[in-house]
Amino acid sequence: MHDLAEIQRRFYELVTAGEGAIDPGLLGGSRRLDVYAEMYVARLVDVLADDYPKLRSVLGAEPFQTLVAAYLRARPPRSFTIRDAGEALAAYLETRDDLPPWAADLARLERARVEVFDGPDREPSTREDLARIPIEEFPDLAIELVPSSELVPIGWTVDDLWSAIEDDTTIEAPTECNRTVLVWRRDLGVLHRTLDGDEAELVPFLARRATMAALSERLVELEVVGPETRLVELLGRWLDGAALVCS
Amino acid sequence: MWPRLGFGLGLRPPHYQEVLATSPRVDWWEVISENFMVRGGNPRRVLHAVRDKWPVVLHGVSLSIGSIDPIDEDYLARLAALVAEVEPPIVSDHLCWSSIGGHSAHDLWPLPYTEQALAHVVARVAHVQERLGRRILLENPSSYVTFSASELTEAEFLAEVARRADCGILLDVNNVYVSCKNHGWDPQAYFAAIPVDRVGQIHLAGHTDHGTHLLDTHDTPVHDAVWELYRDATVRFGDVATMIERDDHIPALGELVDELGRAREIAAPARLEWRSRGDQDDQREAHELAQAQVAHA
Repeated sequence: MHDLAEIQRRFYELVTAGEGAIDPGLLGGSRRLDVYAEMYVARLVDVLADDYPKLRSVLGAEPFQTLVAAYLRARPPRSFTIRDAGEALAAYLETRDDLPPWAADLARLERARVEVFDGPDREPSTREDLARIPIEEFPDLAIELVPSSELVPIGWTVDDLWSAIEDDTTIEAPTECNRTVLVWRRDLGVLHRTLDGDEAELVPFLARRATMAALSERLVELEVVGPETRLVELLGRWLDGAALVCS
Repeated sequence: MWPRLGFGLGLRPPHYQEVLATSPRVDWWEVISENFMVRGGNPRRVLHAVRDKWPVVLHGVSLSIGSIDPIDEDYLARLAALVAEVEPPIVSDHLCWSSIGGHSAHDLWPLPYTEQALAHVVARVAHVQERLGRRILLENPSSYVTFSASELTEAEFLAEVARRADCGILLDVNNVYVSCKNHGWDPQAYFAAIPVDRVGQIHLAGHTDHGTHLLDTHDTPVHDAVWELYRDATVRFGDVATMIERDDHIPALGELVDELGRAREIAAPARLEWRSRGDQDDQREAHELAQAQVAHA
């Protein structure tokens, strides 16, 4: 075998098959193809273990390794950066009937935390910033989430599972739910928080940028008691969390 | 020809805070390019802070210079943007391939050392250098297989790539040691085949002995045998920017700074020798120039 393309295709086939098989037509005197086969999976297992620590914790190290090996066969990495090697894991988990139905939601939550870790920088607004804005300009004030943020809708209580593993408390199997988790970066740390019912209705507007007037109208539509007071309360929560940019 | 940077370390997340707080005795830092091709957050913040105090060189792992896939122009654009931002004295990647059919292996796979592969790599290095507007260095990989198709030794291949593409060589002394042990090559013959004026940087690292083969793991201190080989490298290649890579089981920063001190000690005699040789060359050139000017007058 002499052609470069043919050699690379054959090498890739053998290494990613994971069997360390030797093709005598391909190799010369040194034939440790198994080293490459092991390293290919091991390196990516390490990276995905860093990116999905709670999923690994709840599944167990060995099942997680088996899962990653299967994931790599089904969805080989396509990005030049190893940071993105696990980006399709949640979608892949949705295809796996043999794994817990909440696993994809947990992976989605953990992936969002990876994405916002090194997402775009933008200085969040503070209460002091807001205090400088004349009151008559408030209705037209546009507010939005900091760019390093994501909303993660979850159908299982994996937010509770994540916290139980993080806090090393009793782990209970997730149950079905209809929640939205806000993931964002504050200073250099990544945070997430499950949104209240009406807050979950408003925050998607913030993801697209909204005026205070529009948010207020939405609270009225939701028949929230005391919509103005509630909006001020939520605004304070978002500002204190460094999750908001006003302009 | 290549910047004489002195002695550096790989900048790794566990040391970020200490590096900025204590300004350790390190002449320069090497960062993995891809880790900083992100939009914001802590990595970029640290990169800028370190760049304000030290030279920072970029070392890539995803160029896949030997792949039969087309060069990833998106990757190249991001690398060019990072280069413009950091203004590194050195930009490097590996003599290897790591992608095929649009799939990325995130590993450094060896090439068959054939004339066909040589022409392929040379053309791609030329394209990369044109796109970046500067020369790059290619690092010799550690390897565990050889190909029956190979017509050249690895050192001959690397040297020929450097000559034909007019690029530099990042000589990883640990990789030379690991590959020579794994394949029964002679490290001195390896060095002898590498053109002295092409070596712009040296890497040192640790490896693990698996009995049947050595594995390039970057998770231990540099082994004594590699230090000995480094001594030979300094004699042959002179005052070359040298750094220690540590990617796993990362110790306290002070330990790595101490280990770098060993590199300084080993390289000192050769650096003096090469500097005095360089001074003599400079004096000779000045003398010849003066004589030529007198003759011309």
